[in-house]
Amino acid sequence: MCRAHLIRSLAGLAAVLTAALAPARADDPAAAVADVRVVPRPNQWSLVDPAQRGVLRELAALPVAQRDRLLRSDDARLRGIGIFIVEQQGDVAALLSLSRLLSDDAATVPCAAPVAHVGEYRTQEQTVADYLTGVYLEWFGVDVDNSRQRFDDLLGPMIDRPGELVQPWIVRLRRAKTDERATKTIKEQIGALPEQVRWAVVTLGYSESLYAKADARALLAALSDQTLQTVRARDKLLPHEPLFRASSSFRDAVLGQYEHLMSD
Amino acid sequence: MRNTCKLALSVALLAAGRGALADMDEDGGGQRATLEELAFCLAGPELPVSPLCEAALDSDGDLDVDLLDAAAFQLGYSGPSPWGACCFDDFSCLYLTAAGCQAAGGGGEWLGADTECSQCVSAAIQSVAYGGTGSRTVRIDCPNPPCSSYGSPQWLDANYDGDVEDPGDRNYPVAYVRDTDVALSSVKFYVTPGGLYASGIPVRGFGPDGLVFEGSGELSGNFLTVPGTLTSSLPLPNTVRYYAGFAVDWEVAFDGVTYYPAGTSSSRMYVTYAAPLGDRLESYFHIGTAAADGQSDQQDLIDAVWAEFADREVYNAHGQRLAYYRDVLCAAQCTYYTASTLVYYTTSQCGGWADLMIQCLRTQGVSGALFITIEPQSYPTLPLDCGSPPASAMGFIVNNYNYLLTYPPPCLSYPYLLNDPCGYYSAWPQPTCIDALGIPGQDNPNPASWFARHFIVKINLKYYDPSYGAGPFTGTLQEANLAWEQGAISGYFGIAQTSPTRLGVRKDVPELRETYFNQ
Repeated sequence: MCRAHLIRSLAGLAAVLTAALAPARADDPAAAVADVRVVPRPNQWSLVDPAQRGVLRELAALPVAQRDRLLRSDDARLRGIGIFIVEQQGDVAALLSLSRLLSDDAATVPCAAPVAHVGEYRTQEQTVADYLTGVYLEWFGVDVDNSRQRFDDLLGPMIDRPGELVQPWIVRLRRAKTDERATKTIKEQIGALPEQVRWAVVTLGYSESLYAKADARALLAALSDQTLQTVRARDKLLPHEPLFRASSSFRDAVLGQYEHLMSD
Repeated sequence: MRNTCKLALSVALLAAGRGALADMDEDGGGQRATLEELAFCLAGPELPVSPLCEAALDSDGDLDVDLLDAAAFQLGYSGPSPWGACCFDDFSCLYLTAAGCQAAGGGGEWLGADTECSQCVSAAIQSVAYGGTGSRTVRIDCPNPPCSSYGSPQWLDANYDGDVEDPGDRNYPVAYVRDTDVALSSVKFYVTPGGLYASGIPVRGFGPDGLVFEGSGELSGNFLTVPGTLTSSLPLPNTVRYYAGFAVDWEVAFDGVTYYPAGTSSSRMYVTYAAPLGDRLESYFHIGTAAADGQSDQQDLIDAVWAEFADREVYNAHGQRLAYYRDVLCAAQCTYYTASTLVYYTTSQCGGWADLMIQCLRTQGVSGALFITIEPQSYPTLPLDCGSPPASAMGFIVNNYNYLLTYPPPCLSYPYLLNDPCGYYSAWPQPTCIDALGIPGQDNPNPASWFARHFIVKINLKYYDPSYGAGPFTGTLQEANLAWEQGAISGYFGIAQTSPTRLGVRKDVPELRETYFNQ
């Protein structure tokens, strides 16, 4: 009747049994993730059964070596959980190194289904590639559609310059929204970005209400005349930024937002 | 030489005279001789003829039987035309009398009076497969992707009856990216009579928008098969296009010269803005392409697709109208949350509607549409309820609700008494927050309205609520959030009483943003 089903996949149950029969070793990542039944859709934690939220949050602290073992696992469920951990750790370089998994069509740990009604949490089947596509959309703003070719076209040119990607800064700010200190640190880092990246991050940040209007205007007004002219000319800005390469209308929208912000 | 001359004159007569014969029928003129006799006697100007011919047909008395005599003959003729198609072995054809056909040689077969040359050998299109670099797979709507693809050939008249309506026939939709060539393969015609063999027979098809397909085929038995592919003379238009029927009118020239109609293949064709992304279900193609027909600008395309949702009248590829919570007021009774379940079962929660808009845009090759979650804000924006322990609001109710004053309320922070439509919580004997006719949703004037959360779409910094056809909401996230909330939210609910557990509601404060968009 519906692809979503109540939590309890056989794979998850098997993992629980495995964990119960063989005492977990501290360095065994499979044991560490044995209780995971679901992963959230990016930035949609409220869809996850509250009983799972604590389990998932603890995973973000998993050491990189163990995380990477999960990503290399033969078990697709563990590979999916590995993606979740990379995503939670905000390790952009590691995310960009996972493009090989875009052709991984094995079913992995399900994601939380978008249920609107009260008091129920359901899950939705997904493949490793489906999940990674969603994570890339969250972190880089582009739809790679389970395609390594699209990844190479859109994100490939930025692999060596992950700090100059626009969207990861927005995700970091969004996730740090309730943490003043972290927000301040991130904004300081944004302030040190090359101007042609900074204007886009600040403009998008303002659009997402992550910057106050006055702060955003002040930051944009501080750009060099050359950068301002380039922005206003709508030309030659961030030629490899996947957000703009993937969508001409998005680029127009961001430029329109910039002009609106600076207009009065 | 004489025969050739006679033949030429006969054909010329046919060209000049068939209309005249019709006139004669109306006039009801008398009959002096048969056309066969005329064909036999017809020689030409100043050529001697037999006395019998002269007597019967030399109407102008110039001692011959020529075209002038033939024309005069026709003026008085009212019987059935003894002319008909004379089919030769080389697939050529002339309109002759039976005798003329026999006299012409070349294996001529006379088909009978008033027959047409197109009847010598008739062909009817039997199969067409669509391909080429711009072609994209269309998948059959199913609730749980990946769904099956439509097979090839996409157009097939399996029983050669001239239509594609019968069991075994195929009339599948096809999809292309705009400004690309259409390449047709498996082009095959059913030919009667059978038993004929020839090669290099010219074939052509005329499609919409000036697209022409030309090639040649091999005739064997009852089939004329065109090997390889026929590539369109022009690319498809450089816009999104929806062809309810991409009709190709086919013609075949069995004699290599004269083309005769050979049927029409007509397939539903979706021409997309860019290479499709995602599951590519037929209904995603259908909704987006039909809505954006003629668009070539990306934002115009998005606006056009949105307009299809905004009018709250959306149909799947099979013409079924899609609904938001059809026939249920308790949201939990609708367990469809995805676009694929929505187009298949024709109803869904808001998650399915948000997903459908995203998938329709992805199918047009437009990426970057985001799935947005909306929930009530937590304490302290909204007060704690009266549960044990107190908690933030559990959800919201969507317009419209009527409120009655009650004093003293059992819970000051959530003072209005609500009975939830699912019966999850104990009912108040006299509720004071009453569900009224709602703001309409898709194909539903009064959809479910008691929710933990809601899902909408964001693209190009604007927010769209496809479940209600509301938006776009613009400005910053907070500005758009407040505008959405002011149009949708009636109030927030929480626990008002713990034993038994009952719900209370507080009204939305219009000037305050009490919900949040997750991005």
